[in-house]
Amino acid sequence: MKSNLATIIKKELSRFFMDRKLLLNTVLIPGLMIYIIYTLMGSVFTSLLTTDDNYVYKISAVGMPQSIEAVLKEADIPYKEISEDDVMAKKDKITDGTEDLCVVFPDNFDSAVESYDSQSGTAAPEIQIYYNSGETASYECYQTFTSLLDAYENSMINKFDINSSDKTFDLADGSDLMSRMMFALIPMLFLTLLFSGCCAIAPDFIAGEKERGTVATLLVTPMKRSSLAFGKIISMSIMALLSGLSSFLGVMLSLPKLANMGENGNSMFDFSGLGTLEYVLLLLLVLSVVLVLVSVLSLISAQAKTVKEAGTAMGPLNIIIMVVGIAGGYMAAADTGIATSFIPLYNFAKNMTCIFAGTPDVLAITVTVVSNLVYTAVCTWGLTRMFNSERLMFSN
Amino acid sequence: METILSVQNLQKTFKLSKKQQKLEKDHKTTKVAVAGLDFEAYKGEVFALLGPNGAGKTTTLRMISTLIKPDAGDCIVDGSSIVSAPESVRSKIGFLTSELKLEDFFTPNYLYDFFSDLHGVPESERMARKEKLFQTFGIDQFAEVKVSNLSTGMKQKVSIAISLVHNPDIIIFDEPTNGLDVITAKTVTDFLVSLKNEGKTVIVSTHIFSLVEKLADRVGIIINGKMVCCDSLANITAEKCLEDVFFDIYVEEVGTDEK
Ligand SMILES: Nc1ncnc2c1ncn2[C@@H]1O[C@H](COP(=O)(O)OP(=O)(O)O)[C@@H](O)[C@H]1O
Ligand SMILES: [Mg+2]
Repeated sequence: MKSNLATIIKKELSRFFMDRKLLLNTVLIPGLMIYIIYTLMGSVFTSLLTTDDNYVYKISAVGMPQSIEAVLKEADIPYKEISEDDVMAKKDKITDGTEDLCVVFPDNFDSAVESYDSQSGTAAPEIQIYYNSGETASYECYQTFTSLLDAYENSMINKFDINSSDKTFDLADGSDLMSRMMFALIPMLFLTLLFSGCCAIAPDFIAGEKERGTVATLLVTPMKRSSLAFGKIISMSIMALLSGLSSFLGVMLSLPKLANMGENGNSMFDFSGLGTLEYVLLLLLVLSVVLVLVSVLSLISAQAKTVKEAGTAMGPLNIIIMVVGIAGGYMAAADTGIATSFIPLYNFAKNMTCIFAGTPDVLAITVTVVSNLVYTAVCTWGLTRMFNSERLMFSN
Repeated sequence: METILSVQNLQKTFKLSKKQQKLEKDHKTTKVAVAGLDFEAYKGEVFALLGPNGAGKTTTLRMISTLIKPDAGDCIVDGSSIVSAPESVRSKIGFLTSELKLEDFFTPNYLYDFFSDLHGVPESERMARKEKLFQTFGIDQFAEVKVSNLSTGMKQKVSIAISLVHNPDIIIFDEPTNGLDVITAKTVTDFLVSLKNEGKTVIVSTHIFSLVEKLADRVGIIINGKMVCCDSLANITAEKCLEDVFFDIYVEEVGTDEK
């Protein structure tokens, strides 16, 4: 005798895969939408963040030595000689983005380098370069300049240092705020996408069966109510996951285009830091949050009399999910305790952000996954009870 | 005669919703649907529950089929109690009503196999039985047509076939001809007769006298949730026709000026 659970899941899935409209709404469209939106976003940001080829870097220098002047001339990079007193003012200009670079050479740089003995143990002459990593032009300029200096340094036996002293040379004022913001938004985006996928399925899933009278036909069979509850939750989770996967693919395929905009070092979506462990943890988080979402929605669907009623009842949840998702994303860095990992949805958002930020907390993730499984079990038990409840199933 | 189904002091009171309360006389908050029902059905007979609308027939049959739970009392179905062994009861009975709907999206063939799986019908028995049922109800040429595209009568017949995949010995049928056109109604009544001839026990509820006269071996007349008369059709109709007997009892129980 085949297990009733498998029978139920098989039926639900074949229903799902045969219904072209449903497939379109839950699987194809979300992924496609994200892909299009992200690609558009990527190209807009890219054009905002790259400098055009005719741009002339605004560089000022203090005590420019002849040797480097020659190098710059060869590379066709102009600069303006300023006095040491003007450095403070230039730094402000770099911070606000109106100038790109300010280079301060030590007095008599050339002779200092020549007479420097790398064996001596004393500090090498230092070139100080102020720049702003938040400004594309400034950062590009900084990279060009340092690579020229590097090349020059390689041609010499004696060494000098760049930005070796204990000062702040990157004059960016929280320029990576945007990338942090984007990171913090990923879990919320993910949750809302999953949720909207679920919302295409959930109202009809149980309320619809009640409304059409097909649930009674199931309930007169000897199947256990818990098999029905489990079967419903598992098959809906599979559908939600497919929908989530489609969104995920949409994100992944459009990422290279998004990543473009952060090419200059402060890369916005740098997933290269994610190893196998991180991916496994991510997968566990996603699976467990899908179960929680689906089982809560099943309960809502089961208590509603009609599909419409179920749909209406699910609406406000969307806002809760967004708020909790954003909160989790933003609190991730500050909230280091374990306790909040017991809060459904928040725990997902928080720990997902931590993984992306390169600081996954395995204990917190374990707590998240386990507590999510417990919530799912409680909901499944509740759903079983609801299938047993004649008031809910046969209210005429 | 062997008792196969025995109803013992079955009771059910519904709590009424606000909307339902308004429709009731003196705005009662509860409604006694079944008030301590006792009866027995014997193996191989057709037992008819006869009563007006609202008498408690559907509620009684739903309790016997374990869809809803009794407040008190029990029913023993072929040795299993509806209270303590509902799953076992469900595997022994086939419960049919026009309220049981089929999912529009599937074909009769698919649904037949699906419900066979849920009932744990072995593959070996499945095919022959499906062929027979589909032939009886003329479903065979629609076996691969989605339920949504079938006529109401055909849907009803498919629903009957699907409720009997497990070849139950006891068939419980609430208002078998309700909402059916005359041709389908005839097919269904003929089928019930053939089930009886196969030795199955059939319990039907109805408010239609002719159906009782045609089918039933024994009759239980139920009014306001109480069994007011239970005997063989032959005994009941010994002196008067069923209709007259029923109204005599009805007047005695409720009075004539009932509005
Ligand atoms: N779920 C329910 N909630 C409230 N009242 C109900 C419910 N089901 C049935 N009733 C009431 O119980 C009484 C018996 O109903 P029912 O068993 O359907 O009668 P019948 O099938 O004989 O027409 C009716 O008055 C009906 O209104
Ligand atoms: Mg009825």
